[in-house]
Amino acid sequence: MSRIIRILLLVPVALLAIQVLQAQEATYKVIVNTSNPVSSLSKQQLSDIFLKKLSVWENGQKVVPVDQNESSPLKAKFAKEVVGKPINALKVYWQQQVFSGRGVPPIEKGSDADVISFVKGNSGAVGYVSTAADSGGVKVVMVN
Amino acid sequence: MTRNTFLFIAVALLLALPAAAQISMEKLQIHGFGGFSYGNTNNENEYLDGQNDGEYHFQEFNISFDAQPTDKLTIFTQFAFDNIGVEEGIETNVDFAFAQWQFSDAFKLRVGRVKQPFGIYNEIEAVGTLRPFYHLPQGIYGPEGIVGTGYDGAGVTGSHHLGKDWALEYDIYGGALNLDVDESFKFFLDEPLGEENEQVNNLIGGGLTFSLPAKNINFGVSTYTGTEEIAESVVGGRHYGVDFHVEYLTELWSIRSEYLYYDDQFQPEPRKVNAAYVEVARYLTPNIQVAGRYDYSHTKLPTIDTSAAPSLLDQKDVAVALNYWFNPNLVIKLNLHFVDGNRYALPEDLATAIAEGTLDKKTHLLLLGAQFSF
Repeated sequence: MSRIIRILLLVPVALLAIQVLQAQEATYKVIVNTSNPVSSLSKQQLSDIFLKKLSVWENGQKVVPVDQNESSPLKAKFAKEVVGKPINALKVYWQQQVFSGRGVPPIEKGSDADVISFVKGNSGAVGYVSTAADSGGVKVVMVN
Repeated sequence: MTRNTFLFIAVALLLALPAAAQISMEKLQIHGFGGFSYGNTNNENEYLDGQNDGEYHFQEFNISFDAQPTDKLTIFTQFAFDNIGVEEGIETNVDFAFAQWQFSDAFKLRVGRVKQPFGIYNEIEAVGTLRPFYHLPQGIYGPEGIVGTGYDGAGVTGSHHLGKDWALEYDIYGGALNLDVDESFKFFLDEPLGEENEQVNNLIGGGLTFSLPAKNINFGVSTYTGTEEIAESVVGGRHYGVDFHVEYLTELWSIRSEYLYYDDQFQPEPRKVNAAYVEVARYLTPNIQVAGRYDYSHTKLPTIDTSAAPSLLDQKDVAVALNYWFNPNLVIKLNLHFVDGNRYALPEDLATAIAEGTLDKKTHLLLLGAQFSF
């Protein structure tokens, strides 16, 4: 088999391997609107925000969490590390909240760009995007 | 204004918002749930959705709307459609329809028809994707009518962190409570069997739930009291219920247990109920779950001679389940129930069965069903 064909066959394999590795090692950063004075959040605060147990920033403004949708590898990692629940357990939690009339899940967006656009346009918004995402126009906050 | 008129007006206001104040799709969420089942008992007794020659049952389909017109105001409505496919026609009910004003995370005011917060399951009693068994434990959540589908009135609720590790959620409410009651022991009173609606007025209720999230445990207590009106301005007696519950939930395990004491001082037939259950479920794989449950109920009727059929006052139900979860929104359940007692497992012609001495105290039920939510 010619050398060129061997290289061409390796390309899709390499691309697939990169995707798998990216999914496994997906890292995120938490972002807020630039007008938000917050510069850091504890994991507990972030968990409370995304479980909608904390609804107001310290300055009195309403918190608007924006989540990634299920297809994002970030969502599973964020749910496990911050909220302390795997994706399925989180779904069950929101089912309980919805059907008991106690709350609804955060808004979901389909991509980093959509999350960033939402946070830019909503002064109380907080979301998470991949570390590599271009976060120009929003503020990255530290998670303690 | 009647209660139903009030509810229809509340829903109509929600649906008839002017264009200038229209809720965007980001502020309106639509959800629903339902289920289908086939049940077969081993004798003439009917239990849950099963009977001797098998029965197909379309569980009620529910749809809920959650609208948030402003940051502090949320409107919740849930409609139930029952008897789908039945000759008598679909029954429509409003499970709840209320407005919630959020003063803070620790203080939210709710007004309207609200799901009664009681025990682990009452607020989510019809949602099959939130439990391992197709049906709820009957001792507490069954047709005895101990807990209501919803109260009409006002309540406050909220949550608060207690230090670093603990969280507290509370409810306090008042108004009137609707109970759907199907009391098999009406046999002793020569009254016709069948479901009827009772209303408890001057209702006061509440609950506390403590959570230890790091340990996946929560436990709490719920209680309510009120008076039953048997005719205009005629009070039949006071109802009082208290429930203790505990839950342990992890990715693999769900362990739940409750104990209920209920006192219905309705004169001249007061009754007292003790009921409890323990339910354990475990995922063997990400999709396959097994579960077991022991459900117990005992009713005392101190002023009535029940010697003709004492088994109508007791029930022990040992159940096992094998479930396949496609995902948290769709599950197929195979449940087996081994029942001792006739509190809820009864033949269609109860009087004849007792008179002829053919009332079977032991019933087995095989139930296969699917439940979904979205």
